[in-house]
Amino acid sequence: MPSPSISIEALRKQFGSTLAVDDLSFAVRPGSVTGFLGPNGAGKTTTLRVLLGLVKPSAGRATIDGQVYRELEHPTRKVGAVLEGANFHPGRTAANHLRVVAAAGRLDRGRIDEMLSLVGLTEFGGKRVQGYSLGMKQRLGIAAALLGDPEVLILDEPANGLDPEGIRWLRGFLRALAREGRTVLVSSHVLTEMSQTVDDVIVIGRGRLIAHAPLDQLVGEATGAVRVRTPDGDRLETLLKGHGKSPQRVSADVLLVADASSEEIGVICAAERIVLYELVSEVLSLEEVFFKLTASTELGA
Amino acid sequence: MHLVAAELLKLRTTRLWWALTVSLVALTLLGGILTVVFSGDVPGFELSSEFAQRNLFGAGGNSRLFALVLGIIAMAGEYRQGTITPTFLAHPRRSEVVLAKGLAYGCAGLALGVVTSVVAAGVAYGGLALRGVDVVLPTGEILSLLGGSTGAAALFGVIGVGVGALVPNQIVAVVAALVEQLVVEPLLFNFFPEQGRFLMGGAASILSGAPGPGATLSWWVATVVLAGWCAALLLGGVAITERKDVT
Repeated sequence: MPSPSISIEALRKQFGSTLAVDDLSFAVRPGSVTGFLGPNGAGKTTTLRVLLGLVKPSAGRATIDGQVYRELEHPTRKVGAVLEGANFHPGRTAANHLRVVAAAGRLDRGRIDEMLSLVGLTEFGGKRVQGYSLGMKQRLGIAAALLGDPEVLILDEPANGLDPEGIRWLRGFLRALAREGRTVLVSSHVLTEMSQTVDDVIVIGRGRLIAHAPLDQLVGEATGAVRVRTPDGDRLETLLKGHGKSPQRVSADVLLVADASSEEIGVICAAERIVLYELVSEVLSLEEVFFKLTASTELGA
Repeated sequence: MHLVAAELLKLRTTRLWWALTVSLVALTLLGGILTVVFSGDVPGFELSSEFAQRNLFGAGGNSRLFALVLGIIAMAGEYRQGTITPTFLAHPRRSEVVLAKGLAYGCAGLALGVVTSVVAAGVAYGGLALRGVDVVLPTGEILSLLGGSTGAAALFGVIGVGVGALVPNQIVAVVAALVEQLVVEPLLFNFFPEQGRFLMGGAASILSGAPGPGATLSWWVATVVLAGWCAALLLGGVAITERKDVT
């Protein structure tokens, strides 16, 4: 595995009395798309802004190839960032915005037209940003981020404001960038949005790391409960408890069992001649996996 | 230097400078023309008086307030529009960004001052010639009026950047600066001229030839005083900017 290009080490950030990021550590490897997931307010944007030198950490550090952002000699040639919010002057045209970015970062101005066409804004390059839709602004943000041909790309909620066609375009685009060996870190509060794009997933909640794993593994581990419907609810409950399981009584004839497979329950019922109306292993959707992972932090547990 | 170039590119790619220049020129033209047309026969105030001619040649004194507003909007406006994020991403050493901005808007203020002084001088010479009135002000004083208001405009461009960095809320910064310049300082200058001449507006009005009653400074002391204000506000702005979390 290549050495990580993004490294977050024991990062903590306090805004007044609010702890936005709490002892967070993770590393991101090049050549892959890493999803940075968590509910709104989990600390994703703060973490990314610390990484980009915009917010000062209270403790710990965030580095790109071992250097904090402010130490990078040509930051916009190394790292491209697409952050949320209005980052454009409404009265400036898209092409002029890119000219400003190029001038300030000493980037090749020859790439401006190329980038505008890459994100499909060629015919709007001369238009003032105030007339742009949210999706067009996202595309302009991506063009600006790629102007310096960076090895590392960081995107904060890039799917916001994109229509389904735009999201599909973004997915293909991010995958292509990762295939070129670049590092792509993309945050989202909606897992399904990114599920077809990311290789690795980092989940945070309340500023803390909840999970960091390849996507397949995360989904594989998070299996659902088994739902049983039987006229013999009382007897099955007692039996399962006798087997060391912890069934949950949903109603008179329905039990949910989280710690037994449907096979185990089927065998027990057959041996005890318990009539079954339903025996369903509930498969969790990605969204439910995500919810399950983050629910406890959201409830303040 | 590429940062100064980037700042000037930012300035040229929105319409603010255009709007400010046009209104400043219009204001200077209007003030000059009104003076030429309506100067009456009141002794000491007629067009042939030094007083009226000092008003005509000093009409460029307005340019410093426009330069101040331009500088404030250049800095605080980046927070307002969110462009501060790409600005600091492109160049994370923030103090250099603020200093480059100060330099760029010193130049922009200088340009505003030059344009205004040219317009003021044009109206003055043209108006006096049309009315058949002789120029009574010595040439040296005319040059110091025009040059002083131009220099004040350049320094006020820098001051604007400092103020905008110290008070990143653009509307608050613009309103506070204008109230300070147009209300607070004139009052202080009138009641305490001895101290008031060391204020920004006090020194600047001495520099551009419209001192209040009593106190005055030589032009070079006024320049040093103004430059001191520039440095203090800009460095204060740098300190605030370095510390700020850009969220």
